[in-house]
Amino acid sequence: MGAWAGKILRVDLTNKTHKIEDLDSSFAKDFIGGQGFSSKILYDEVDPTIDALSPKNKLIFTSGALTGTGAVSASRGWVSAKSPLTGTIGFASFGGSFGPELKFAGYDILIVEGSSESPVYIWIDDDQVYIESAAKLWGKNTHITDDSLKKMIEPNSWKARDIHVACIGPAGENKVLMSSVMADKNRAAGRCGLGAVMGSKNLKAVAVRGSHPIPIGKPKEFRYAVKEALDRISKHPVGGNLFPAYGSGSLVEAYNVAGLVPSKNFQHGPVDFDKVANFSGQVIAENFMRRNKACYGCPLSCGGPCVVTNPSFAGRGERPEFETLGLMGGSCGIEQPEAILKINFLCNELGMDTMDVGNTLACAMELYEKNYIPAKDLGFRYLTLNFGDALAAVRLVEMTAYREGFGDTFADGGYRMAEQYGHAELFMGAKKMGFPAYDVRNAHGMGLAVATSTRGACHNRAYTLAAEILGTPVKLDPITEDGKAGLVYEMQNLTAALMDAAGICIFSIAGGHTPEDMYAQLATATDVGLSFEDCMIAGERIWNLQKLYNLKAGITKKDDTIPQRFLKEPAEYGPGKGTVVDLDRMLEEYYAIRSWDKDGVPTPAKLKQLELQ
Amino acid sequence: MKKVMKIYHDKCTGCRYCEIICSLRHLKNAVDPKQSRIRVYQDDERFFPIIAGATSTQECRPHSTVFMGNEEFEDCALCRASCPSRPWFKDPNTGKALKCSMCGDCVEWCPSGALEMIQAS
Repeated sequence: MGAWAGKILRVDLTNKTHKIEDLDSSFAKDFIGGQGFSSKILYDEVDPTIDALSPKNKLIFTSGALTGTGAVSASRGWVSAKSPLTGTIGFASFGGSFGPELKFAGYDILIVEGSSESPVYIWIDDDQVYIESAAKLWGKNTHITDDSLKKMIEPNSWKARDIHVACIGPAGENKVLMSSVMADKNRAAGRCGLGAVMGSKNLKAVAVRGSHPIPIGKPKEFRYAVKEALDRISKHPVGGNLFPAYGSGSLVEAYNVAGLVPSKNFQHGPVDFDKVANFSGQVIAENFMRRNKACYGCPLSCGGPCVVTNPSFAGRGERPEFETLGLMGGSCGIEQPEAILKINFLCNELGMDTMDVGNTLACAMELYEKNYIPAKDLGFRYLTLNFGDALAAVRLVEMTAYREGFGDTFADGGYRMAEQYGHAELFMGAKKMGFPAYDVRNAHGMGLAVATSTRGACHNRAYTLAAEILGTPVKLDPITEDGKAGLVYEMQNLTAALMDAAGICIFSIAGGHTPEDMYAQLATATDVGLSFEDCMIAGERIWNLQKLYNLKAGITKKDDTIPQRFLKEPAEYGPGKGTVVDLDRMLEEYYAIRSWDKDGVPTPAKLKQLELQ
Repeated sequence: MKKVMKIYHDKCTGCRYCEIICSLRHLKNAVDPKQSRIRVYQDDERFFPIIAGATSTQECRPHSTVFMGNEEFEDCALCRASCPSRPWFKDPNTGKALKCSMCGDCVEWCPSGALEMIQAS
């Protein structure tokens, strides 16, 4: 088949057994890989109505079809399960080398079932699979777990170098609903609270090492396709220059000019220019970063080790990406870059999603400033939680991971916290998950993309800003609803198939990686005769399957929405000044384009066409 | 005239494209960085591309510590040998040493410009 490793590993934590199954070639062709595989498995095997933290939920690690092959930016590994945060189908992805290593070990898919009575880790060394006690690792942060686990399983430090670890930190152990699964220390599968699912199974870590080469279907053509894509990216202003130098944070200033960076829980925007200059990617790179660091097979190298020496926020870790900067710096109003870096370090070490933490913090700050959260509830002696209170934010992040004091309320996510204080409308999110750092009143298409995302508020299911702001492949007016339904539809299918299922990082599209290049690499790495149309249909199939799962879980049209703030309160700044998002109109068009009925339910004819019935 | 590889280690980002393309060239129809003739030594903050060089059947004893500038490296971090101390630069099936053929593919594919091929007399 080429590209796919060809095996599925099933581990049962309740009975401490495992079995290896073959990957069916028509299944591979229909769902491509990554999130496509896991969506199908969840749909077939996990009842959508179960409690996400019960042993009936399954935690699925998948690699994309291109992951590890050397296709440009194809490093993604996916973690999937029913989400405890949103109640929807849940999936999140990380870069690094864990995804590729899973394939070198011979598996496209790792399915973890049941739950263990005591803490364990899974160690996969090619065909050898061990389930061992993780008592010594429990309670440790992700960085220490990564180092210690490698030492525990492989005394030879050179052989240990090839081991890659995905683990949870204290947040996942304590079932914090915004906890992440961390791979290679700093690469986060952040969204949907999947760390809590891993914690509920008492699974501390998965370590993997493999020695099977990944087959390439048509090596000569593949080589040519990859080189072409690499050359195109190296000549692209963003991919060849901006991202390697300043990471995705380089977009902070440009997006602020476009009115997208939120301010104070999206009450205002954009942030003052002199303030944005404090926390842009440029400032981080120039003052705190030591060198560039890339994921497996990626020319963008948007990561980078950073060190902060300021005693209040001292620490080391990696540079924050755009969303972290936009939400902490803009939405929470924390302007000191040291503080944002510290929160980023802490989230990575404790295993939490910076986006949900950012939104929940901003929401708590607004609730506090409006006196909806009484000061005594916070339990701080000297600190306040106004916008921009960096020390309180850092403290709250630590308290959340261990569910100490107010952190226990905070840990259940911003929606539940805001609801508890009677103001759920002040949480900026969709389907109970935190909003990306984009004020969608200045980019209406993104509003629809977030509202219709199957895993809760997410910008990466259809990155409409590529067209609305960056102008690839065509420049569209961001302040209009015209044509946005079609744009979102196309981008969702394309992203699902050529990025999320193929294992290519979505950042690369901003760096000049074209869908045509992605397809050329996918078609040559595999040799099952995938056409571009097949891929788009696979994308639509994945999308419909996720929608069906959500409908069965009770997530319906009423949940396909964004906060009232974007629908009722006109934008104060930016090109969209005075406008609100007309979501109803776009949603109606979108459902029609998808051949779904007025309530957003896929029609039998559509499902038949996609071979889902 | 002789081909010499020049390595700018401070430019290396650890993306492992050199390992990927080297293994694809030599394995012909598969990718496996562990069978590559160039490996990137990496820890959290440092990356050094190392090209397969001489072969040794013996381990070095005792292992020494390497200092470069102010930085300290673990024993054989920057060594190019195929030897019993570490699993690099060996054919997994035959155990034979793998040696760089100086084809220049890794130089051509390196996205960060960390590798350069120069002619030396």
